[in-house]
Amino acid sequence: MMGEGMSLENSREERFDRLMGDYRDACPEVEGSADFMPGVWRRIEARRRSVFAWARMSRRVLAAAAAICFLFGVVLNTAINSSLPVSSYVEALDDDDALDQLHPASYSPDGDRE
Amino acid sequence: MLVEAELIQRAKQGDDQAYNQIVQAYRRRILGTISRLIGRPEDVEDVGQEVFVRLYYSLDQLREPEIFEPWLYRLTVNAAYDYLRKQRRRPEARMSDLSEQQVMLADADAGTLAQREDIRKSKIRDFVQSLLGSVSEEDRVLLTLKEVEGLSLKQLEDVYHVNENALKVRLFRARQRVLKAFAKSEESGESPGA
Repeated sequence: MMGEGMSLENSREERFDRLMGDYRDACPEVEGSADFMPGVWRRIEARRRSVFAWARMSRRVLAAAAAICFLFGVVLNTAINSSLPVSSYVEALDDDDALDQLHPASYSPDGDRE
Repeated sequence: MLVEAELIQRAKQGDDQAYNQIVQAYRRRILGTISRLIGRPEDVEDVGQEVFVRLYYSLDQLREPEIFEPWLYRLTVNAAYDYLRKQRRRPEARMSDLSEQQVMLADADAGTLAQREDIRKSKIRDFVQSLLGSVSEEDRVLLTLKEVEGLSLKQLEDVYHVNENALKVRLFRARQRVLKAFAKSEESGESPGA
């Protein structure tokens, strides 16, 4: 009974192998049309164009980003420079007003300035 | 190999003429393989062109020209997978989906011996394709490469980048699944030999 099942399986495997062989023979040779090679080159060119377009666009975006960064840098630098005191600390101390303000006598005990 | 390693080397360096020669040499073989992998003759050329475009853009990644063929097969298999995935959502009427009456009418129209032979072959193609269509894409592609294209285990190892034992297990399981579908179709009398 078991041997029968095994031989059935084997013969099925043989039939399957034969079927695969028949399938191989039944599949026609595919040559491709005369437009096959030009079609390949058209696709290559199209992909190249799209890659170039992306590269060009990303280069432009990169250049614009660099220009914006540079502008920000310049603006920030100018703003920082203009808000900083022009004179040095010692020069500021030399200034009359500043000395008056720093002298202990210029302060009243209750905190009011003279 | 169908081409010399030197030709592949030249194509790698950007020689378009060498690339053209490679395409011409492998065109028929690759189109044949695609035809059996995807089972739709009308789309074979389209997928074939995609394979050769991918070849053009990835040729510089090929380290040794000696492994060119399995590498090209890998590109072919990947393109076929992509196609099959896209097609999964688009069911289409095939010969095997036609009613018995429609098939009989088609048979009756074909009177000559050559036409009858064409019909027999067409039935075999449709049957095997529907059989392979009943298993996963992975099983279908693997079995087609092994059983129909006749690739050796060594070649399949290079295509799939897996060791021989793992490949044998995958092949055995894939074959068992197809055999199960085959048994079912034989029992229901769908097999062309039935």
